[in-house]
Amino acid sequence: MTPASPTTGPVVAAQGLTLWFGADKAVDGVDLTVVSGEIHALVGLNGAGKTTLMKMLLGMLRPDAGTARLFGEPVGDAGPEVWSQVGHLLETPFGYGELTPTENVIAAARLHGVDVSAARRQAGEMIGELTLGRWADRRSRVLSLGNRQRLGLACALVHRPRLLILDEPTNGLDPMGVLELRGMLLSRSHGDGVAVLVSSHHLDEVARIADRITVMHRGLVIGNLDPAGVDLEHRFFDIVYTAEKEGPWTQPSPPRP
Amino acid sequence: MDAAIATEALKLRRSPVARTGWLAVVLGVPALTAALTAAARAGGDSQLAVKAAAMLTGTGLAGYLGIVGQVTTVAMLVTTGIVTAWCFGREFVDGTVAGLFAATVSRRRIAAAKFVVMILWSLTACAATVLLALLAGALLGLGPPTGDAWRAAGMDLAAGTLMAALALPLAWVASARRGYLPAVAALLLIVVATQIITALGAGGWFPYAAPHFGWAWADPKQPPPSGRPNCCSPYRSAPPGSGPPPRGGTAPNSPEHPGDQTKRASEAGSELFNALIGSGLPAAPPANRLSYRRSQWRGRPKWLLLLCSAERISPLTSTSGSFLAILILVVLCLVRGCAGLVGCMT
Repeated sequence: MTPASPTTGPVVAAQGLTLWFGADKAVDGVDLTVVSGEIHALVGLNGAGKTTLMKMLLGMLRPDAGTARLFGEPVGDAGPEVWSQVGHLLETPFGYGELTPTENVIAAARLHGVDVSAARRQAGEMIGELTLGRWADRRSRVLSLGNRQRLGLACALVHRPRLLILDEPTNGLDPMGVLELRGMLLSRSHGDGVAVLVSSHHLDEVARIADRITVMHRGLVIGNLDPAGVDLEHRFFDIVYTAEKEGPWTQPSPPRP
Repeated sequence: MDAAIATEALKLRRSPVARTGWLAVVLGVPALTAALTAAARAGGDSQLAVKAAAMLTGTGLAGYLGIVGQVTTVAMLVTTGIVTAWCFGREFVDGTVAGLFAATVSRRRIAAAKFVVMILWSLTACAATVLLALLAGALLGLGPPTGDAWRAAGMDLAAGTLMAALALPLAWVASARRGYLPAVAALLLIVVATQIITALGAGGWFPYAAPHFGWAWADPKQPPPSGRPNCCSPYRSAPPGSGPPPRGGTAPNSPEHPGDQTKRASEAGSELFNALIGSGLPAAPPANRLSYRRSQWRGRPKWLLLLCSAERISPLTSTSGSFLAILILVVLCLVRGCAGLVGCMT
């Protein structure tokens, strides 16, 4: 399998992505880029369109308008050489209850093109890194919510992707888990040059380590936050309240094209 | 091994649904048939003994394997249907379908791998059931398998496997409706529809009833089914005396009055038919088939009569014709099932 070409341009390049759910515009003309070695955080309240945007980037939903490219390839045309370089965790963490965490991580690696022996070795490493060793040989259905999230992260990371798309990855994690995740993302992006797109509904520990923070509201990108700035929460809510006050939200939505 | 097949095989091996279903068929069918045969051989005039005797299509091991065939076809349809529904529907219910996107192994390939492991599951279940049934037959003292018995066992295996294959298209329902419950509902609908269509006499044209027709006709010495089969066997619902007697002449437990027993079972099987077509049919059909059929259809809709007559010329009511037609149908359904899975996921 040929690895995706070294990125000269952005790893993720979305332009004018739009998607309607019935009469609701879930995502409204979003432009977004993520480059190699960068952590890009998407923040916004519940229902802002973060997950929908990520689903379009991963080919789970087809946009009504706009284009999305991964490693320069349009998402619709992306083949194994692109997907072998992408790791994702969206909504429910990947993991079958009847399999053990180790078997689940091996399965995730194999479904991303890793051969059997490498999958076993890399799965062992991931189980250790995410401190799942104690449960490695039990059925995954007995795992707690936090450990299921760790398992989902292990499945997203095991094949050593060049692009990580993580939707609210801190869900269910204890403070130690959040710190571990932060360390892993920092080492992978700033150390190994992995492009990371991570979403959160609040400015958590992961959003704070981002190189760029984009604020979404009602499907629109309404601004950016400087991660180095002070009083981020205050500025985040300022942007959201201003958008809410000035936006055309009371007007009826135009019909679906 | 292919990554998708290896993963799907592991999931199915570990699945409580698949394990329970497999064991239910493999242990349940031989146990049930052995019990039925023992009841028929013991004689007596209890309800169970009469119905069990009516299920026997012959004597000895071959007759016993006839009952095995009847039970196996129904068991394989139901269990394979449930396990297939779970195998595909669980990805949506458990939310694991999101993990199958953005992977190097395409979802079409994953769907194909699911079909491969389901076919292996049903083949092993069916083979183990027939083998265990042969063993149970030996324990019942029905003697060692002869040529006829081996042939009957082969037909059981073929009919059971075809029935399992007919359950595989439920994968499409599970995928399109994003869950296993809609597919289980569709399975129930198929079972009910099979009963009604067979009772109406059009079973020969309905693929879900046809493997049973193929199986019931396995013995060339036996007569073709009458125009009004019951849900289990077209042959046994024939009016008594309307065709040549089963091979071996009579039910083994009651050589003097085989017709009485068949008649009672036939009456029980006619209840649904009566309820659907109307009351006033003769409870015990007369010996003459033609006059019976005339009296049966007097005043009934013409299209129903046509439907029932058409059964006699259906290609599905010959063994080779039914098997060929079902295989074509299954191949079409599998192709459609794969496409449906991929389409609805995207």
